[in-house]
Amino acid sequence: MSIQEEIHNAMKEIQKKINAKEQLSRDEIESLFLTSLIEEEG
Amino acid sequence: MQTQKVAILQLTRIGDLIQTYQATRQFKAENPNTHVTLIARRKFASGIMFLLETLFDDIILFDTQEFFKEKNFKSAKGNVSDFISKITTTEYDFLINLSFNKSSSYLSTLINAKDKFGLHRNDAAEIAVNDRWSQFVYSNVMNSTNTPFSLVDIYRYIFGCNITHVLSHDPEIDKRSKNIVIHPFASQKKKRWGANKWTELLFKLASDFSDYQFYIVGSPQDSHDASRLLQSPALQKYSNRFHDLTKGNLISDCYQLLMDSRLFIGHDSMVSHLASETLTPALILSLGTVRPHETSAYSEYAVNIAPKNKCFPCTVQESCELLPCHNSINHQLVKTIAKEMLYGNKINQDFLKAKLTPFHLNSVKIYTSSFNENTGLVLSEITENYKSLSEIFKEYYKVIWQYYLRDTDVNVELPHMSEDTASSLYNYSAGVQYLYELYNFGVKYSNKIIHEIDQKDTNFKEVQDCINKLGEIDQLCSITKKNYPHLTPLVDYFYVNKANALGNNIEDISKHNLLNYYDASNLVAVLSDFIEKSVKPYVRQQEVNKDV
Repeated sequence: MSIQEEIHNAMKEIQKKINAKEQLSRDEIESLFLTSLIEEEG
Repeated sequence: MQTQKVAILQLTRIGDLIQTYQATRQFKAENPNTHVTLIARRKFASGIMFLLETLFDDIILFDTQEFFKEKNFKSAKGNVSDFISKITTTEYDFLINLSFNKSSSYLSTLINAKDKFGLHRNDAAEIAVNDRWSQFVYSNVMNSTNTPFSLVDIYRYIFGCNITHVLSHDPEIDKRSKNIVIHPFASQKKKRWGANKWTELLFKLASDFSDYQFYIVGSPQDSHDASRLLQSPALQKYSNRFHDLTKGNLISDCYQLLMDSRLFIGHDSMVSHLASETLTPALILSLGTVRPHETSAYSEYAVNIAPKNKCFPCTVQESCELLPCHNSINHQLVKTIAKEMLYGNKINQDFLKAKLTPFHLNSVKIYTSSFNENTGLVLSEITENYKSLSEIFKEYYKVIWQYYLRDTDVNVELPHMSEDTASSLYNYSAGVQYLYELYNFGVKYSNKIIHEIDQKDTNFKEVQDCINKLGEIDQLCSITKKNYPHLTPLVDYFYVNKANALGNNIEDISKHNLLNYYDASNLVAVLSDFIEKSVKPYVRQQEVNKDV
């Protein structure tokens, strides 16, 4: 599995929670931090 | 007194880090009993560690590539968790996030701190900005081209600094070597003069100042352009006095060179911020999307030349092939000002009148810098141009925001403008009137909600109707700002402030909204007063002209 696929899978669940305005765990915010770094640095 | 632990988050580029450094120095001067930790990206901070280490008590760096050294997401995630665990061993009294980007908002959420300033996320991962100066940055600096303050000062305001603490004058500037540092590069083509312009300028300076050495500084990515510039036939005659420092020299080398130089000439960039740190007089050319009021060198020894072109939109995303603003600044003008600065003379209106012609000046704005002991850096335009509508509003906002967000009175003169501008400004009276009425409706409906909630038998339909009305007010404010774009800073600020209302129930949120609309209507009334007073002399003049 490529990094992009791994990120996509990890983000799918988090995105569902964000859309439902559910509270996120620290672990999920860490994932969001990491993906935002990738986004910003290309 | 107990030492307060402060963490500052700055995840953006080197220039922003130097500006953060300049603001933090002032914060520490006012609050010596603080332990300040900087959290930054290694790739931006490592080059200026020699500077950062002199100020910050602790520096925590991270690198995205290091997180991914094993090239899979799972291990990267583990590395991030380790990094976060490391920084969460400390609970800070204050966390101040000065970088308004996505990654910093998440990192800010993860750091343990009693109070958080700047961008962070709430429990549902929505953006939250609670302090008023950060709301100003989020609503105004990120979206507008009309910010009247230097970024260093905005950071100071977020820190709550009152007094401007700046480096004192270098009495030995005349003893420095006869060096001129040139930085002819910028991150975008839009922001930098072409090689021909630089060649012409450098040729003139080299022939007029035969005892000076010229140092071209830049990153290794700039070395191809530097070689092209230095190999131009015009400069061959002086090649022994030109030095290329773009091939792997360190930023600390550039800093040391600036410490022993008499002038810096270049575009608005990290090097111009270093020039301010070394008290080196700087002549800065602000082209393209550069906003001199925000990003000019934080120094009273800087002169800024900006084109007068009104290209719209000129954004970082839009490419521009014609680059008309590059031709607005001619090399004779830059050379004449540079010469005067090298002689140690002041650049002022008398100098412009004596040494330059309207041919040189009619396409540019020239700013000199000074410091106000409270508000910080002041850029003063010395070219006698009529103020444009945008500049007039910038002055108004300078007064309004200082008064509203810092409780500070700023005095500015009524603007000189053309009759056309006066007429456009007069048209804004209608937009300001709409806004005033809308915000007063906001006060009315917020009051109604609070009153209704207080009743024993709350009429929830009535409450919902009022909430819908507030939604309509927001939409109408948005339409008003589209028709009167210079009202955008005010509308956006109060929109962001309302979106970050404090409270967990309708009553608390409505009380916050009530104050929000009340403050907004007051500031709009002040703006209306400014407009009325500014256009009054022109309206009278038009009446006299009609009578004649």
